[in-house]
Amino acid sequence: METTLHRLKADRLTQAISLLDLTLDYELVLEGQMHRATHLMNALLHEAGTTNPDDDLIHVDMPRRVVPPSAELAEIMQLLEECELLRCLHVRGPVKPDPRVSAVIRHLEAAFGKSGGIDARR
Amino acid sequence: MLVADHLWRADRLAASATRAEGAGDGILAIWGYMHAATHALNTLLHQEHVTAESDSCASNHAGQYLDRAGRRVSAFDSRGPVGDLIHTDMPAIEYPTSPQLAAAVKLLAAVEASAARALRSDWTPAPSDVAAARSAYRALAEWLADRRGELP
Repeated sequence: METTLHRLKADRLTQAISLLDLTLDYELVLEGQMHRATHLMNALLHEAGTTNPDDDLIHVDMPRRVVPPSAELAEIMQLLEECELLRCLHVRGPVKPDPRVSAVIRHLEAAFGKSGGIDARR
Repeated sequence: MLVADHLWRADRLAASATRAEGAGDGILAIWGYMHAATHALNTLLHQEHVTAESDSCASNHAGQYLDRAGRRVSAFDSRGPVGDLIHTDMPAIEYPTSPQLAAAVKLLAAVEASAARALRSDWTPAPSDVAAARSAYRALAEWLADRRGELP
């Protein structure tokens, strides 16, 4: 998928997440945040030349794990992997919400902001 | 996962999907109904003893299951019985012969295709696509209720 479409989809997910309440809808917020972060990660990987638009990652390690091209992307991928784990436990699993959910969302926001992934490239 | 946990999670996800749909969102509404329907399907399959109920949940990877702490557990690995399905065809199982189940699985498979398309292409779901996802969840939920497997 082209970088511009990744960013467009991330924007739509941001909008969709904003319609929900983290306390009430933590499962879908986590789901949306994971997909949004995956789109932004793919956009950054394409821009860095690490992956091509026809070679998107669905998850951090699927279909394969790539070597992050920068410390910022390494941090984003590590946070996204944590988000993916929490999503499994809270959407597919039985776990009640814990503080890690809001923490990982906050950290992802900060990491994308730092790498220019969200606003700086518009 | 345990049946009681599937039912609890399905109910919560369907409620969130309904709120997303009501607020005008299509993408997360479809994903929410899809996950809720998958929990309903897993409940049915556990109750029919087609798949195994356990205190673990499916990871992103077919055939890999996690405990509540997020550690990979070996209870359902490639050599063991299948636990929860992630999607209608993942892991692949032999469904019991039932026209009603076949119809419900077909509906859910179509929702899975919509969810992937809404997320990973330039397609934007229409309200009718969200309604189809809601109907797929309701078909499974109502069937569960008819069998007193509980939900509505």
